[in-house]
Amino acid sequence: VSHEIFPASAELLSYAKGQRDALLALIERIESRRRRRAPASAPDAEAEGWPLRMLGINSQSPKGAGVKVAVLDTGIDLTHLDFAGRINPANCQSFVEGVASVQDGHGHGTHCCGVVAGPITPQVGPRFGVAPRAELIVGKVLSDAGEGFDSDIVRAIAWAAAQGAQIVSMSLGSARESQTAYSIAYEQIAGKLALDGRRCLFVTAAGNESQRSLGMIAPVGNPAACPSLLAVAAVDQWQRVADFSCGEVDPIGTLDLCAPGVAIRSTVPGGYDFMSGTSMATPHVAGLAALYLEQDPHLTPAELWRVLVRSARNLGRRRDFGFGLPVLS
Amino acid sequence: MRVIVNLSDQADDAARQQAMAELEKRGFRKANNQDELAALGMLVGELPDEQLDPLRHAIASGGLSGAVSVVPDAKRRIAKSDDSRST
Repeated sequence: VSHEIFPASAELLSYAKGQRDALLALIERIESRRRRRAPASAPDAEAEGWPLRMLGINSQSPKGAGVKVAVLDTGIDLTHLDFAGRINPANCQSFVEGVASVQDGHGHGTHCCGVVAGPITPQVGPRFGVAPRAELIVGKVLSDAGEGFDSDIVRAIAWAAAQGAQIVSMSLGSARESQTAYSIAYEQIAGKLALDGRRCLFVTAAGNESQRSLGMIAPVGNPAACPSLLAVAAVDQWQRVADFSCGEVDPIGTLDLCAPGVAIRSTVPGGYDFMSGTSMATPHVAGLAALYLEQDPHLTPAELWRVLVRSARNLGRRRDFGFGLPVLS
Repeated sequence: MRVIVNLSDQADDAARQQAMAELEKRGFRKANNQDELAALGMLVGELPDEQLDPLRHAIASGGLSGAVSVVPDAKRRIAKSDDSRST
């Protein structure tokens, strides 16, 4: 029996990958045509990309002015023209051993920073930054290989809070087996900051270990499984849960919200690129939180969390989408 | 091994100092550059591998005045899907 099943499964997987590649190629062709039609100086150059439209953001929306958002990741391309004159060196610090600068040699951190606070008018293409007037605080906690340690991340969280970060976006994590514990260190520092009167909302990536097309849904990873951290799943342009997006499959790793996370265009060192992952969904929610915080700067992190959840459009099962897609109202 | 130490907010200063002294006696060495974290009552540092289990046992059995907890460090990575590609 297995002799018959395995070749069929391999064929199915190969077919699914082929379909995925074809879809990604189609998206790229459409984006390329759009870029050719809309150079930076064209009248529609400020038009918002689909992820922003999906979140209810348009040119009249708040821009995140006066809100500090920390992105803890692989750093940022300090030379990128989209961030020229917008990054305060005092708001940048590396926590990676032996690495002094936050310069991003990977690209992931620059992409996440772009989603949070890319400019109203990027050098090329439509707008992708959710909160273009938010003040970025950049902690490099992952090496240029895309890896790091809790000990560095919790140090960075404490530093970011001391810098005045009101929202902390963390597109990082690791897989967690079902029914195993959440990461206590993150709960401890979240509790300490609250006790100290620091107002920080933590937004984290649920994880990418699922293969839903093959019937496998992986549990929300760590640190997203922590109760004090808002866990974000990824959806595509058609508001379908992403194939890789982790789900709420045990009572420990709950899922809170979902956001665009498939074929997301944003900044990378030297230009722009498309990336997919709950990594990309996370800064969309962090940026949206900044817009709500601009509207009401007195919101506590718990109130801001509730505002985001209340704004969410139900897209389907809690297991896949959490409370849904938050939108600006 | 690298560990993350949490000094309990419920414990008084004397208990916390006693717990820190016990950690240092077991070979715990604080890392540099953690002023903001230390101000919150958390520390990262190195602990000899062979000390972790005895230390956890001492904490679990009510030692160290309930003033401290110790968590081994863990690796994390970017949450980007392999679906991503360059353009």
